Amino acid sequence: MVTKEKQELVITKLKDGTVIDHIPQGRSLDVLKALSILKKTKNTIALIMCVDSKKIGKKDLLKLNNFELGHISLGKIAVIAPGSTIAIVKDYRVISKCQAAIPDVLISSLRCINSNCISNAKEDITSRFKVVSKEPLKVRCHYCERTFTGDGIVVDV
Amino acid sequence: MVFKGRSIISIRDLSKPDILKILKRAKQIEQLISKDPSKLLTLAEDKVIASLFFEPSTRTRLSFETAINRLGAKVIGFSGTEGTSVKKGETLKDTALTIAQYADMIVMRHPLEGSARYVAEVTGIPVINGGDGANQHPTQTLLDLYTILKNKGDLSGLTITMVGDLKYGRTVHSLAYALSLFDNINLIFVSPDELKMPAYLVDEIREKSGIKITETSEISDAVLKSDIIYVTRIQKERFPDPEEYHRLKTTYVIDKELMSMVKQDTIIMHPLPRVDEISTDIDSLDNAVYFNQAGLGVPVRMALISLLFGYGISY
Repeated sequence: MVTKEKQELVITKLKDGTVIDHIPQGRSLDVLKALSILKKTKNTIALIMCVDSKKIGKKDLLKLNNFELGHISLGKIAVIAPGSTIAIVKDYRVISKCQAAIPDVLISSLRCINSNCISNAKEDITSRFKVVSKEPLKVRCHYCERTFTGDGIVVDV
Repeated sequence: MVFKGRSIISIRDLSKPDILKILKRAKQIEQLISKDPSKLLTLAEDKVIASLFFEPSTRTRLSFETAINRLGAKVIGFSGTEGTSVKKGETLKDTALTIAQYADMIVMRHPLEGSARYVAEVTGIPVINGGDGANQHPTQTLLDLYTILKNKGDLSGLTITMVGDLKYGRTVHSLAYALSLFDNINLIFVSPDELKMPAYLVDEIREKSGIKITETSEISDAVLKSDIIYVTRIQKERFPDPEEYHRLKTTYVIDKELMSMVKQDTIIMHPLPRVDEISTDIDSLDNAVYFNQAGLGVPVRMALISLLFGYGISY
């Protein structure tokens, strides 16, 4: 998929799949990990890091062949890589494009770090966090009601 | 909010009108208990309430069970998980779904935070949280508010000093949050540095209400202007180092000497049990309302149960 031509990296066009662009530099591996894509697909993945960007200086980029993101994944991307753009490609054409925005409620996206929270017990529980503030990100666990910021916010992988 | 069929999990779920409605109902019930308690005995006579205490409790459990009995409902349940299927490894979901087949309402205490909300979600029957780990204990907050209302005639325009373990004490967290819903409240938090009110909570209350909050480690100045002094126990189990516990537990003691400094109508509250933080010397003072406070848990819990079943009260 990657070919060398005129001292530039050229990535072939995606026929069908998803492009996650404008990922803050160095976060693309975290995005891949959070989406558990490597476990889910045998299709080609292009991971491009440290690309020049007019918008954000340096950026990472992911091209996922034959892969569609669900809303849970969108929430995870918004937390890990805020400002990323997601384009759905069908037959070489971008059919929809959106920015990964933090929703008001994050369902199944995060894991509560409070070991005494029922969501960490051996129960059939879907994690749920209310977004208290988007900038800086501050979330409250629906179950134990603790508020988390910074390193306390952990994406469920 | 419509109370019928709802669950009471967290003080955050209640608005100011909700709280006032519950306290108004508690007052009606308290008056009925002293006038004609038999009238209440038929109110919930066809109901069965499960009292599930996955960890020990004295006041909360007995107060709830008294409330249930005084409303004529039947109580089933357990205190401690010994001999239950929980010990066999049953999930909380399975235990709750099974008990929901027998009972019309669940009152529960559980060591894991968020457990009561989870049980309310999986069973669909009303659940009253009697304490979930270090998180919430909404009926304690409601009975605290009722005690303040009864003694002060209002929930606005008060200076409330909270003393002791403000870091781990869930009662002070919830009470501070609930008081921030009312007007002209002045909160003074007195604690050693190690046991300060969590910053996120102080920020949240400040952001939400613009309430006046003072944090200090000096009790003397604080008590002079207080209408209410809310004392909490410093919990031994929170300290791995016994010396640290012994040093902190006697930092603040409400005794006769300190009481000579307070206003004549200042009340002393405590969620109980107390250890050394309130001297028994002051128990006989009119200012010491903590035992009556525990007693008011019954009409408050009766009020909640009656509202969640959708009953009206005529008196």
